[in-house]
Amino acid sequence: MSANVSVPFKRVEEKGWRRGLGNLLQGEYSAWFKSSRWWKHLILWFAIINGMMGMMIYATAQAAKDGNDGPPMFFMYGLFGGMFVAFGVMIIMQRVIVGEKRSGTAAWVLSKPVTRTAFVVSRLVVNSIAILLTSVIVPGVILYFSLGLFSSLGWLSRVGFAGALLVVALHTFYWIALVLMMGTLFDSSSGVIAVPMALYFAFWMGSGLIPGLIYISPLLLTFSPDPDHISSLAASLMTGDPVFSWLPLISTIVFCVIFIAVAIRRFNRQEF
Amino acid sequence: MNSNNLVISTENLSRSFGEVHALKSLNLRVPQKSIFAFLGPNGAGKTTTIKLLLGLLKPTSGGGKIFGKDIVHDSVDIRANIGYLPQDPRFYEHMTARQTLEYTARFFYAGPQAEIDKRVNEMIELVGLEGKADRPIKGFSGGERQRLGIAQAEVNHPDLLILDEPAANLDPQGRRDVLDVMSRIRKYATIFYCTHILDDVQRVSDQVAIVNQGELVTQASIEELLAGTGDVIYSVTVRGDTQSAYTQVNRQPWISGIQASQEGGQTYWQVSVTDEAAAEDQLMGLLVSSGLKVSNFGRKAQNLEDVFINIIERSQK
Repeated sequence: MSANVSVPFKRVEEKGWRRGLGNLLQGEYSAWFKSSRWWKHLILWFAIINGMMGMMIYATAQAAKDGNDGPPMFFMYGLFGGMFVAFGVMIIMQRVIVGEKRSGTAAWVLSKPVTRTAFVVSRLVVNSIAILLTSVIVPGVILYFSLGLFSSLGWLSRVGFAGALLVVALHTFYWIALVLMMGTLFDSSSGVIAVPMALYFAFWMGSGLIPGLIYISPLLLTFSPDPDHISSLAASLMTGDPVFSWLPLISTIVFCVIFIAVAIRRFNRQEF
Repeated sequence: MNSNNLVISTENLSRSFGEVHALKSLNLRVPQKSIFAFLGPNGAGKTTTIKLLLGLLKPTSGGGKIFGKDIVHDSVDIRANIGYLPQDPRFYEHMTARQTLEYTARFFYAGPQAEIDKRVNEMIELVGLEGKADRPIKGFSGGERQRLGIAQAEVNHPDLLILDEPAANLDPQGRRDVLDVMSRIRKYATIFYCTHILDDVQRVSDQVAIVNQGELVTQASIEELLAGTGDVIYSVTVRGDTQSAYTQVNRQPWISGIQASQEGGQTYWQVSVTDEAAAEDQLMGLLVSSGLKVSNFGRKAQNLEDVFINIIERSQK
């Protein structure tokens, strides 16, 4: 060791794949939460999800006065909280790994005592927390109170609604993990964003053509491509209706694990 | 050289990118507490070597050790005792210089915070960034980024400092500061660095290795290199039909190369000779008999730049 390293310093003692993880998490956390980034995202998703759902609540109340049905509330939440957030994730996450590979900051960080697994895990964990908090949890809780206070639906089951939010969070996490994996496979943002987008539309359009697709895609967690016959898992949990199938939930979890494993394996083999 | 005294040692370290052999069987020996200059023309394999040493690239064949640890399998352990300045330092643009240094320090030290703050301040002072320490890096010039790069490489007081072009982007004052920093650090660390500024190498380095086209051409101390190339250079100024004379003179077996340049109607030759006695006896006569008018003739004192160019030219023959 260097002769001039002063005694009081306490060395970092992480072992194995966790080498550098604490500092990487701290760095990512600072980038999100010690800047204006988190509240800008929060305002954006509040405007998109709660703003639009507020309009839906108002439209439903107006329609009820005229003796008509309002817009399908849960379908619309699936659209804003599911589809819109999925596309938001693709945009927000597109540069997470690729941007660092291209700018040279990844090579710089990896020249420190840091494992590549820790690098990927830190990006996954902090971005997931930040995105889920700003686009799922906070807008979801606000929606719960909005529905209870202002809509004819009244107070929904807390457990059911919390379960629905978990399902929406899992759906969002699927896209986070997929985009992160793409970042390790591609060297340009266009590839990272194009594949998940294409996949989303393939799931949507393909569900009508290939019946089995609906069970292995995450789409049905939040958004039903055939709302007249099938409800999304989130909508079923909110309303207390029977769930059409738990298979999409299981397959989504399995795919998330696969995406993360591929991302870590690929990043460990990458050269800088 | 005793292998216990080596900080870096490579054994046939090779790296190819497809058909391109960027590094061919490099056998490098970097002694402890040395300032080791790793030289070579652009594309010679210098940065590839550094990236292999840091584990950012994996060798195609061969291997190496740093502090006696394997560069492939023990890379993270090795990096715990290394400071690295990349060729084109890139940091997180939203961070300030101070935050960048603290972030870097935290990869090595868990605390205490007061000591980390003290070290960060020392580093800011070391590279002269006091006035800019709390500004986001986004607005930094190339020279300021370079200074920050040096500070972050040194923040953990590493046993080995690897610097890829440390004086690039710096003004003369900054260059001098970097050399001062290197001289101070040598007391407790080994410095392995690449540069194109050969004056700096001659001023501060102990050992030099020269690579060309992925191959190690030579490794020696500065003194050995300046004294032991076997070449003596004659500087001559001539007029006349230099083209035919060039062929005639260059044909001599004791001439290893001629570097020609022109200015103001005169031609300047740097004639490298391998046999000084033969040159003393024959070179002047040879020039005159070739029909040239010689207005200046003399033996030139060698500097590292001459040696470097000679070695590179010879390795390309």
